[in-house]
Amino acid sequence: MKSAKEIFDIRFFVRLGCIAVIIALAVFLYFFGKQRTLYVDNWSTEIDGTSYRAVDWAMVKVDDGKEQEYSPRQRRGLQLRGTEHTIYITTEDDNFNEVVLDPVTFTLPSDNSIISLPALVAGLDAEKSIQPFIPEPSPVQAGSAEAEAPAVDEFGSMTSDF
Amino acid sequence: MRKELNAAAVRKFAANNIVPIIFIVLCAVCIPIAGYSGTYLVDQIITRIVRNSFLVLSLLIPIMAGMGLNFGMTLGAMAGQIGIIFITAWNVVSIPGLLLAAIIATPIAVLLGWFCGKMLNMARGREMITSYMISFFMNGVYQLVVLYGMGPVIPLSSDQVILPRGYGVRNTIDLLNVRKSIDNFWSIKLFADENGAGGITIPFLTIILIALLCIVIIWFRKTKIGQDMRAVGQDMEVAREAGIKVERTRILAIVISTVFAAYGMIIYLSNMGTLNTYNSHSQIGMFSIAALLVGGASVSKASIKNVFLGIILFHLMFILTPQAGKNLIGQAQIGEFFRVFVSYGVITLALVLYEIRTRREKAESARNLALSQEATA
Repeated sequence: MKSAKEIFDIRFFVRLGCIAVIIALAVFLYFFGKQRTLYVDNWSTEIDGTSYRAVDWAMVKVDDGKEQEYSPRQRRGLQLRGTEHTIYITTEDDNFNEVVLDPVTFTLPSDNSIISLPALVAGLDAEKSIQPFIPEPSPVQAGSAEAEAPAVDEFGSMTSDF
Repeated sequence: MRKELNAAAVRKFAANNIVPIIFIVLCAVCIPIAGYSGTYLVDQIITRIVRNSFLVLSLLIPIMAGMGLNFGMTLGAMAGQIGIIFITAWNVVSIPGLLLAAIIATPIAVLLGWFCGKMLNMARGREMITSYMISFFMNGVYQLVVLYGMGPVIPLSSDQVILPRGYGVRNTIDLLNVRKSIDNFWSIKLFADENGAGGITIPFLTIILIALLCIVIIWFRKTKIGQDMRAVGQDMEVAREAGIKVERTRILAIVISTVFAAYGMIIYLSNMGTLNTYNSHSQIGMFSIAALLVGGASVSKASIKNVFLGIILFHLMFILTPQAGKNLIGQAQIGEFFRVFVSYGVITLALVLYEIRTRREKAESARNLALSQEATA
């Protein structure tokens, strides 16, 4: 029987270290590679009892994405990767002069979130401007659940592509 | 005398390479009938080489260790699929997603490979049929886990992956988030038209990964454990006498093969862009083995050269036969059936040829022994 000294030798700790590094890498990859959806919303809204009117015109860019133009009552979904994001907003004042707002950095509270553009333009905190968003489920058609039920083929099918 | 020697050499070469020769003839006949352009064929071949090489290369190490064709590579494919299911459910995308899938698949593949290796040590001499049966057995376990475990036992809640009933994984999973992530990371297109369509795409990163695996296999053969595996493959008893831990070496060969198969499956699925949850893995073992045998490998001998030649010939036939069938008699389905029976047929032919060759070698060595005994008497 091996003694404790033989079991917990240098090799044991090297292996333990390797496993720890791999687990840390997996955790990093999970957060770095996870994709979430952010809806940028330019509808009039009310947050904490204050009303915010839709912005007449804005150009919005999130992280390194494409800059997009927003008109009132417009909402677009963006796919974002990583944990921390930055939104860049350019809008116009009452005299139609272009105003570049300070970039706002934020984290997403859930897999699907919505950010209010009017609230951000009015200077509300990013945390208060973002809320979890639950899209309405699409109606399930009759028979679709049965059609989705797995058909297990005992021997597999060799006629498909390889 | 010289003519006789040449004829004997040609006969020997033909006998040793009968399967690739049949395939070269088949492809040569099908190419003009199918009528595809050279650019299209080369593009398709490159796509299929990058898609399948890793899987087929995973078969080399067990052959080196004398364990024959590892039908148990299906177990590795299952591990790879489980990794892919997880990252799709968690919505981890692109290359980080594939790396995470590989990290998830590795311990599962090691465990399954160790189990398979243990079983194969118990069924020494009948490794291929045993590994084939193990793959069926584990397929049942996989289906149980995926069909009933995922959802209630293993917490996954993604609508993209889990069935509307709340448990079990969907029949088909769309892998849009990881599709061609490795291939598109660094690729160039040659001979494309003005709109960027057509041409030949060369995915450098995937090619580098495959080249790295080839280098690892070549290096591995020269290491102590690689030499041990070759010794075990040649004669187990002699290897044991030489102090090699035969059982441990054989288990290691299967574990390495299973882990490589898991990575190969991840590359394959990312290239395909869809996961057929309940069938993908069961096809993969058969096709990979058939491709290796088409390249001229046998149950006891296989090299990297066989892998690439096999993939090129086998997949060339895959690409050509449906179109050739359609052009000949108006039905693409005939080509589909043709390639299915050819896949099974080539495995059967290779097994039969191996058996004939082994018997012939045994008879020859017995004859030589008898002759030398007569001479000494």
